[in-house]
Amino acid sequence: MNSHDLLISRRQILGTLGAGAGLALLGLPRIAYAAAATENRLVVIILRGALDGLAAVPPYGDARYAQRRNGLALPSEAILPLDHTFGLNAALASIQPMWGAGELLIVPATAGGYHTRSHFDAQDLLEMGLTERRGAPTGWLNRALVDVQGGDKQRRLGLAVGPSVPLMLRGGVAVASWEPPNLKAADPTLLASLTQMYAGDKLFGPALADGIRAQSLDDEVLGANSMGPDGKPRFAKAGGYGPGAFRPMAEAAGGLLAAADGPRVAVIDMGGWDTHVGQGTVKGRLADNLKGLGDGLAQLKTSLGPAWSRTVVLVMTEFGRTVAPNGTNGTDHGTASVALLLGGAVKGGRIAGDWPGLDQLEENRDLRMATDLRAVAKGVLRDHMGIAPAHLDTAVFPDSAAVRPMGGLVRV
Amino acid sequence: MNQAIIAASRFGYGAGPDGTAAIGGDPRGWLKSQLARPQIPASFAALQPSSALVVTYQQLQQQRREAKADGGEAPQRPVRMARINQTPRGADARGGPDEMAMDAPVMADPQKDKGPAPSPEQKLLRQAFLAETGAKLDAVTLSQTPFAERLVSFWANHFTVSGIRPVVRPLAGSFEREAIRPHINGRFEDMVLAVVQHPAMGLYLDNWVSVGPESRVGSRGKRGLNENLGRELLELHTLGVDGGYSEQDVRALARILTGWSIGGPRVGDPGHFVFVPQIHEPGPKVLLGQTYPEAGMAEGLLAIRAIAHHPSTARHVARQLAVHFIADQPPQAAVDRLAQVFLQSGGDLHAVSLALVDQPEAWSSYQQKIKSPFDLVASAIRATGRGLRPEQAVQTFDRLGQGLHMAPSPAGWPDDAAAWIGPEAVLRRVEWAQAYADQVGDDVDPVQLTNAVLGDTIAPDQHQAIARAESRPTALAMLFASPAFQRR
Repeated sequence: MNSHDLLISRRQILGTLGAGAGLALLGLPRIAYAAAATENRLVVIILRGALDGLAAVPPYGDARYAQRRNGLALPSEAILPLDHTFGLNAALASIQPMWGAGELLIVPATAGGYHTRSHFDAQDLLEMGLTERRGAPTGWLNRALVDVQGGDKQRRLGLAVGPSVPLMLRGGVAVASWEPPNLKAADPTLLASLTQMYAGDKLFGPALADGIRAQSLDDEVLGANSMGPDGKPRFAKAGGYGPGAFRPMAEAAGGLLAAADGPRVAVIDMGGWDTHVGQGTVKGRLADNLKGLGDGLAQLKTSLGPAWSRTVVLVMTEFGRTVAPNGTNGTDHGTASVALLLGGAVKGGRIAGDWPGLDQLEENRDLRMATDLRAVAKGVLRDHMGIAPAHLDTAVFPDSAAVRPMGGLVRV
Repeated sequence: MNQAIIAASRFGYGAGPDGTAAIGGDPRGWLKSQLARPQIPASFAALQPSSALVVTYQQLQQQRREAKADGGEAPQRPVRMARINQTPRGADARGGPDEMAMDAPVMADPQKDKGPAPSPEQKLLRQAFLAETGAKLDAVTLSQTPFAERLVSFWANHFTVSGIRPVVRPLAGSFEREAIRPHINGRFEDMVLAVVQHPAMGLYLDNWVSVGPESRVGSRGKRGLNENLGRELLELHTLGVDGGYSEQDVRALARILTGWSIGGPRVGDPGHFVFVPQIHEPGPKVLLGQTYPEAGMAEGLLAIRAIAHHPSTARHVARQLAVHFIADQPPQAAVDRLAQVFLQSGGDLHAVSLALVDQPEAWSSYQQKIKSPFDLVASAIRATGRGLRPEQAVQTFDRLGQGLHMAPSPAGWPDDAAAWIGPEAVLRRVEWAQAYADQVGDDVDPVQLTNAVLGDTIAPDQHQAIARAESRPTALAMLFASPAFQRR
């Protein structure tokens, strides 16, 4: 990666700002950016592990919903209705006001257009903007930056929030990165996986179990409750993992993007969506994660301040999950999920794209794809970031002319 | 199990991203051939020898004292620390042992320490230490002869010098290069001699200020004998605690070694070993039933040869090796065989290392050893090829409980599972695995890497858990945290 050294030095600069990241970031303009070619902001949030779209945005009005989802169907008190078909999972209450304000657009039944149920392959393809692997591994957003930066490859209008630069932002254009300071407590999801992995090991198994108990992390691992006795998320420290870790990252991203000479495009990762066991759609792991996502998105709006009006946030995941619960009250890898668009620049308060319904399922198990995620991304890049359609069809999303940009996503 | 993986992981620091391709079909031959031509790490080229560090340090101290003597305030709060050799000029020497406190916070991190700005000595020591840390990590992670590197680390731990004494911390790397590395294929007695004569050991175990009570300097009554090195040489380095020596032997060895010191501005070759007759205890000494008539420095040479070849030493060293390369409780038969080779070869460490490779138990007991934090991190770096900045490495090892060159005592780092794996330690390791995996990023294929570095030594269910992780960084974290990866 040719921009590696620069990234490290930038991290070091930012790393000195300390733990109160969001506020401290307001002091950032010393890091010189050239005047940006656009005032518009784009934030892409990658939900790694495959979000259960039917749990996040339940199609409660679909005739087959309750029967198909079986034990995973949300009770009415856990649904915030949006229209007669769709609602929001109540865990996403933090973003409900954006629906009313016309700042939240929902694209149901989205997928990447590739056919794989491997997380790794799907995430790569999603980020490369391809349906099958080929060429050098670079990200579609990096290729899009070529236009945003007006050909100046050293301008760093792209920002990676997290310890490494996601593939989506990797490529020939130099980008900036910010990571939360300090080492952090382990991710509850990882601890849960390792608890299983260590089960047969007489040394590591008991030691990890005792360690988790000692840190009172049991609840998080089991997905029961991520709130502390004071009612605040236990992971709200900058640089943590788990549901509460997203918010400080969103706060940092918002602060950086708000700066007049700051970056214009940011990518934030959020993991923990691979809910094979006891997914906790109403209360538990998935609900906690959704709440963490919603709280972070609300924080992003706050931190962006006036720049929110010129912002589009695109939330996407590598694929969806099975419609029916599996044998362990979770869901397995599926096809289509859901994409969210948020921001003051979004023409929201509505559902966009088709709804394939739950009657006919892909391979008799998955929600079918109605909208290609590339169409959504192309629509945003064309109408919000001003990227030429020809460039989108060939360079940003190679050979994608057949996938038309979705129009009308943003206020023009 | 795959013998090449065992060779790489148990005897070295693990396989690289290319797996065991470099090892070929004869893992034992691969290990043995490394001893014939151990690689000199390229990372050593830029490092300073211990003598240069000691001399620079002496000069900085001298300047500070002069500034103070001129009546001006020293630019920063002076730090009490060793004045390296002002001793031997006699009564007028200013740096008596009572002034030589070596516990000053030389290595305090200026970023964290809100105290006074670091002194020039502190800066010097910290820079040297960071350079040494990077070089050591490069040495083990880039080496084509990793078995030789593990032997270097093993012997350096056997003859621990620790930065618990701050002045020692930046010297520990040069100690390893100058006193340990040249002798891993040589004779044990030569290694002991090089260790005892190295300034890092002299400073760490106080021998450079140990003064014979009846010597010219000692008879003036201000200074005396320090038994520290004499005791550890017998207890830890050679005979072992049950090796059959007495308190009299400890004192005798300490008296024999009086005068073994470090050159300074006024004596000998600055920064190098020097024998100072003025502080050597005169008269005959009796060590382990053998009388050593007064012979100055020659007494020490004879005594070191004697203890290095002692049958108890053969048993002690053989057991230490077996604990490191076989199991926490190694089979006695293997210990006996190694001790036999040691004794019969006259302490030829090349012969002993070859014998180690030939012990069937060293192969059949694979994964009974737990990687120390250093081993764990080094093997992850070898696996991915993604290194750490020296500052990052220092922080990582501190957090994992094995600060580089900071062993808690002259006994070195513990070498058993119980010392390294507890509830807290396992969580710290998981945190590290996650942080490192995040840093490596998602352009490494975790399944391919697992196959390359662990082969069939990872249980199928652990392998499957990695393959099914929700993201590449999570999968990588699970690889580094897997029991199969944490064992060797």
